[in-house]
Amino acid sequence: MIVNFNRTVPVLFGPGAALRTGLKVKQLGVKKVLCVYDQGVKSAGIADKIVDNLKAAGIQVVIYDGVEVDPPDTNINNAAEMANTENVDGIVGVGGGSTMDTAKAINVLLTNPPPISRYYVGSGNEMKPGKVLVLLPTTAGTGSEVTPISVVSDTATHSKKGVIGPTATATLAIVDPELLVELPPKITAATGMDAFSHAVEALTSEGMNPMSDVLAEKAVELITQNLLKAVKDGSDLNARTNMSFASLIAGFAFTDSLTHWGHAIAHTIGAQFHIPHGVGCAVALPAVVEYVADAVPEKVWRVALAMGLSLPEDMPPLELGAAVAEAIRNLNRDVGIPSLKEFKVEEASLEQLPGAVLADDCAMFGPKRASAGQVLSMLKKAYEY
Amino acid sequence: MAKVYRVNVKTKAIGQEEIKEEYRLLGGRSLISKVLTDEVDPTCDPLGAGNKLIICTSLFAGTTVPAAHRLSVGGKSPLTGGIKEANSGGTAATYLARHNIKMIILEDLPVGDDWQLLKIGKDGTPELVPAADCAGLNNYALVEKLKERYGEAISVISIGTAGEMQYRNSTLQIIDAATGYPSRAAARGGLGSVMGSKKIKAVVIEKSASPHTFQYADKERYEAVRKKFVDITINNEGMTWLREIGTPAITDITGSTAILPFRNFSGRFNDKVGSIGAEEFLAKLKANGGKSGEPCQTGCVIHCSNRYNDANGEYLTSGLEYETIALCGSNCDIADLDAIARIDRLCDDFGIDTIETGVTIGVCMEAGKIPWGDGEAAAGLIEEMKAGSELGKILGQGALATGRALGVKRIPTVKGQAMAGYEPRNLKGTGVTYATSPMGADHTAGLTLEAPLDPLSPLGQAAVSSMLQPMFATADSLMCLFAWFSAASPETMPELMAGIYGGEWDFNKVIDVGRQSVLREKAFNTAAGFTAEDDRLPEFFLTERSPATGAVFDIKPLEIDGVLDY
Repeated sequence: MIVNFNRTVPVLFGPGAALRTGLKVKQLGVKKVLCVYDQGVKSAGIADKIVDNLKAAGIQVVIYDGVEVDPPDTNINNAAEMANTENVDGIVGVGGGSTMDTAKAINVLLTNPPPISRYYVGSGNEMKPGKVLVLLPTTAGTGSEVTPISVVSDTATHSKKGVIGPTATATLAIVDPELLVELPPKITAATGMDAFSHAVEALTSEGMNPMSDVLAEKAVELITQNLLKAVKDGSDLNARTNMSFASLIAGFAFTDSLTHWGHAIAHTIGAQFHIPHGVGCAVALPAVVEYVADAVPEKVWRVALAMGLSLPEDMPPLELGAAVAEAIRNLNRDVGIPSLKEFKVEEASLEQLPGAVLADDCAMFGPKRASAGQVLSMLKKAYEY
Repeated sequence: MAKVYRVNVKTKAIGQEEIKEEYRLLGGRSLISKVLTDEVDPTCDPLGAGNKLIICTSLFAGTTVPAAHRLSVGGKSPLTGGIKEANSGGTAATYLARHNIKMIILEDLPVGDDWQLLKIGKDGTPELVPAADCAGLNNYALVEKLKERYGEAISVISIGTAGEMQYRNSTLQIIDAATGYPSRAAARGGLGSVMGSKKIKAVVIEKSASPHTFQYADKERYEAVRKKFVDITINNEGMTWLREIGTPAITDITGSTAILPFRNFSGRFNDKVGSIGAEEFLAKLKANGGKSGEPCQTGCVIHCSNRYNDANGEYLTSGLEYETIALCGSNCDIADLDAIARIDRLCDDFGIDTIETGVTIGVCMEAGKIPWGDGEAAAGLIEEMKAGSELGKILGQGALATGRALGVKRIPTVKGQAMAGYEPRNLKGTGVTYATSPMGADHTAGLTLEAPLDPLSPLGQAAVSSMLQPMFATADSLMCLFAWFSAASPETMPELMAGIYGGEWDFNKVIDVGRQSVLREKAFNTAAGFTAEDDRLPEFFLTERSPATGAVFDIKPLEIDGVLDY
């Protein structure tokens, strides 16, 4: 089998790494930068630290602090217009997935004519390389700092669109676990399970990428061992560091192997019920693992081993899938991930979702196909546990 | 065979010897370490009768190798309590070589308080000359007086009143070839005070009436490689910045990477680096009639020195180097080249090390004694030293003594010697060199600025320092460091050694000159009482992050302890 190893984003990793932002940005030849973040990152005091650090290195800073969850295309177009007026030669994005997606999309529009909708996946419009893009995640989940994807909420169609390619990829990721110590337990749990889903889905997708597999396995192991610690004690820097690392390598893993049914479901229920992405992933994943266990039993076995489960070696695939699914549900319970029912979702409303799940891009990458009925069955398992 | 003069300052007897056969292939730093090993008790009082002041030339002195004439001075350091070799350009090594003098050893302590000059006459005859009228003079006035007395055709190795007062930050100054002023310094480790303890105010060397002709082992072989060496040096594009700007060009590189010390090694970027950078330096030279591209010694093809004039176009100082700008400037947040140049002049004249002084002033600023960035107040501290006030006497003992006296927690020294102009958290290989060099925190013992490593990563730093230290020690034994780095290679150096001294050489054998020197130095220090605990950076570099990079100095002790295990 011939596979791609496309992990191309250089990473500066470790506690305190964010202090090197100004130096790195300067070494990348940037003199004036657009710093992108949201109000949460600002109120946590993180944004000011990064801005001060950039300025101390002699970099001019223009600020865009209007990032919203599930970033709308209109915001991106407006921010890019400002960045182009200011003639910045680079972008620094500090925040979670929405911020990093926003920064990536703005970068597209620094060198390509607006609006961002011109560059949605499938548009066929080519993108010129962007400018310098440096991303600093403040959650351990999305992996967006190293992936080539920006997810944009299209206001015209009320759907999520991807902008994919080198222009939507960071020049450098700076991963500093210390930026996470103030992250609240709920967000820690949800984003952590997002990373866990990246790892498990990458490992069980049809990508069959040996590099992704080893990265994903390690990510599963680290998250199993550290997520609860980080949820219980946000200042546990060792747990935060392991989670940041796990998120990072899970991001690398799914860059090549891609996510599948779990993310297709999460995208759908996220759009329908406004459930945080990480929660959607977490509640979908156990059912997905059960569903694909007979297609990729050896991969599910590797998940089990990475989670530290002691299971009989001759366990039939379906039982194996059920056992791993239950272990994931336990992890969800331990870290406080609510079920769909707890989100006050009407069970009957799930009936309308399989079509959207099947239409999601991620649905292409599962190790086996699913009918609408099988998708509904997965959705129902996510409803209550 | 080259001559050695041995001067007993107590009996005033001057002996003349031939250089020992076992010293024939040693010079500069390597000769100093050998003689100190052979003749000086490592436990002696550096300012007592048991210490000796060794003055010697580099191994290539007397030859026509470009920038061959480097003067080394050595002894047990009053600053570190360990072995010390400090070297300098200037005219002295050339003058000594023309007399075929390889080394001068000053021994013992005098009876009484009379000052002497050691004068080497036109015919090479050494003589002790009473110098009561020279005592109390600083270097510029002293050299002027000596030139009036002995004519222009002299070289002088002298101490200012700092050396007379036995300050542990004091230098020996040497006349600069381009300007004729005593602006070159064998600066580090307080050796000026050793000369002061022996009440020798200066060594005056008259130009040889019949210059010695160097006897090459194989002239033909030598000339072939010399031509190659000169060609490589002149055509080395990587070194043109040295001629066009000189070492002040380094400010731009270190300033942009937070390697440039700022506010007592705070680890922050200097936000005013543009005011002291290369562009401003050149603009100042141009505006005031100064000049870069000057030679400090005859026979140099690099010309890295400069003449710096004040705003009125009057000569202020020469050889204004990066280290001075980094430590008397940036490290004190003094962002004014004229102010830094004035401090440089004060230091050269009074005879104190600009590195030790800059760090001492930085420590005083951290203590709140004077404000950050105040060049006038900084110069005022030097005036305190000159006046010998209570504070001045403390300052004259160097940065460590000053920091302790003022209760400063962050004192950037190793083995009692102040760090040079490189922040060790952000240039970790040089941090390893600071920690391990027997000389104390010293950049010329193994600067890693050009090493192809991430300077912020611990990876490979101990190894590169370990590799570079013998190379720098070899360079400091043979010639000018910049000439070495312009053209030294396995093709040139063994041939040069073979052409000059005979025998068969390979590059490893050449580097072994420095390697063996470093080992002798380490052994001397061990005998003086140094342990592995002395090979450590101050704790704040290990615990405080550099705000500009997040880096701490994280090379493990186990790695550091193996750096000089050859």
